[in-house]
Amino acid sequence: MTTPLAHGPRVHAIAAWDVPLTRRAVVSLAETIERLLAWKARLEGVGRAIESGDCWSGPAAQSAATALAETSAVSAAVGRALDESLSAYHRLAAQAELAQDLATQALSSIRLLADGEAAPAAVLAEAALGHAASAAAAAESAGDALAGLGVVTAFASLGFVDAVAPADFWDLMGHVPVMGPIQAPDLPSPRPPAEIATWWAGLSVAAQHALIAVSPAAVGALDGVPAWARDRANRRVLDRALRDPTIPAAQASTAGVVARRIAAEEAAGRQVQLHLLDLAGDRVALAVGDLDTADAVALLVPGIANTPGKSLGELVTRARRISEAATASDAGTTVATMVWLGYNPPSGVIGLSRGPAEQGGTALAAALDGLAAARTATATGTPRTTVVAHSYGTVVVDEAADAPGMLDADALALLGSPIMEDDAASLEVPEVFDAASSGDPVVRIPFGNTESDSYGSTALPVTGDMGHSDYFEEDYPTLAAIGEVVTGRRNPE
Amino acid sequence: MSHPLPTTSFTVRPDEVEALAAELGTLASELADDADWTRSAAASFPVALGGHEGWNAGVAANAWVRLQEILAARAGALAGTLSAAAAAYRAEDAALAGRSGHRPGPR
Repeated sequence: MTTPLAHGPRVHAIAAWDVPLTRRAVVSLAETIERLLAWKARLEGVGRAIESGDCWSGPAAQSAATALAETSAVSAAVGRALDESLSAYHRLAAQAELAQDLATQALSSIRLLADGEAAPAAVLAEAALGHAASAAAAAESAGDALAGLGVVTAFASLGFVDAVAPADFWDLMGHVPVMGPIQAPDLPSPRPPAEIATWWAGLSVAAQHALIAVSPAAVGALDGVPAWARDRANRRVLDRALRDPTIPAAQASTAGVVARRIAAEEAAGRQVQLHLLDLAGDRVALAVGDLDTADAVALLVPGIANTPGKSLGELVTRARRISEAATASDAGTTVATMVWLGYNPPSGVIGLSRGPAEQGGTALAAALDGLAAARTATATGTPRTTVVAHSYGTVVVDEAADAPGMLDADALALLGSPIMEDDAASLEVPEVFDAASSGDPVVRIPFGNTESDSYGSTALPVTGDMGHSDYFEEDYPTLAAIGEVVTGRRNPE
Repeated sequence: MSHPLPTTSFTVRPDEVEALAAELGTLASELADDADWTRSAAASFPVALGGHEGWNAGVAANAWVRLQEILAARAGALAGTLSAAAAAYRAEDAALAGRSGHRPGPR
């Protein structure tokens, strides 16, 4: 004899729930949100193309740009609402799983305890009903999260299969405050570049521009923010610095150098992006090309005695040569090469230590993470990324590999490197190349304990008469090989 | 009724505007496909859970579908606007060329 379970039919129904199917449906919804973020980023790319005025300008173009900005703002609002709704779906799946598990146990207990002892089953059934109620509440919350967009789902319990939703875009836009003055959102607390990239992608275009206007220095330095936004932000910082008579002379001088270099490159028809401008910290990163769309991205990490004020012109020339060599190796690959002076190289060899490299390594690792995260969040394809490190810059790479997490690069080219620690595998990158001319005295300076023969990197071509700065010279064979590394046309051994 | 031309200047590269229109058209199509994907997920909830939990979850997910469809339609409309603009600029240019007396050569 068995004792009937209170709410028996309901407990049986819960035990029959298909939780895996529920979870698969929730995963589908989560993937939808990821794709919507990427979709919005591409939409904004179209808006920026029009806004730039390069292909279309005038009143009609302005009208189209405004329409795209409005659509972006509505997409952002939809994305936020769906995200909140998704959280409720996750709760639904979790509660449904607990409820079903307990309901199944309750029914099993009845079968096992056929002597009339049903108390444990009743307890289990009661718990199952509680979690089922939580699941039901979560399902309602999934709909309530959309209420701000004019969606009404409250009558679903009456048997309606469709929500009342906005009739069209204009109806939907009526629920989204896109037309009034936009208040810049708060900057997030420090967090990994991947989270920054997702946060940024979720903002409307208007909010992104408001943030650039209000906090250009912060946005310009934020790893994970797309390059176009950092460029705009840093140019604002640069403009202010150029007009500020009170800044220290050294910073004013560096600002002038950066502005003149940008003007020169753009006058020659080359796109440049000011990825980092920290005048107080004497740090600059300037890219030739478009970091947001390039198929291949290279970061040039210079060594000792380089500063933005003193060396930017020569370093940009080297970056441009790398891009040209890469394009020569594969004309179908778009390339962006960035001079990365995101650290303060030692001023000379006297008293040389790993200290600057330790600071620079952390920053370089974050910069690489940020570039990759921005591309992932905006679904602009993952570029092949190569770090081209010269001289002491190779020690910076070594330290970057020691930073937490894997180094987010596909290849390293170590040029004129002093003797390194450990081996190439310790650099966490699948392809490691090196160029070390016998005419370059720096390659014999110990900055580690590994014999070069056993380091494990693939040698790039050099000639014996190459000096320490000749790896970027067009008359020597190394530069063309670096170009092949950047495009992935040169195989490691 | 005619409209006065705007006094501000404008420039246009119709091929590039057409390319942007094509990208918007692709975006519209992709999001419409995604709405179908969401619709399928929405249908799963009543099947998987039954009762008002599944019903409510399905209705909310159908609202997701509607929101996606609205955005997709909007992107499609913008694609049409840009495409029409590119065509209009080309047509206006061809008409002006005709008025200036140029005759197309033999084909």
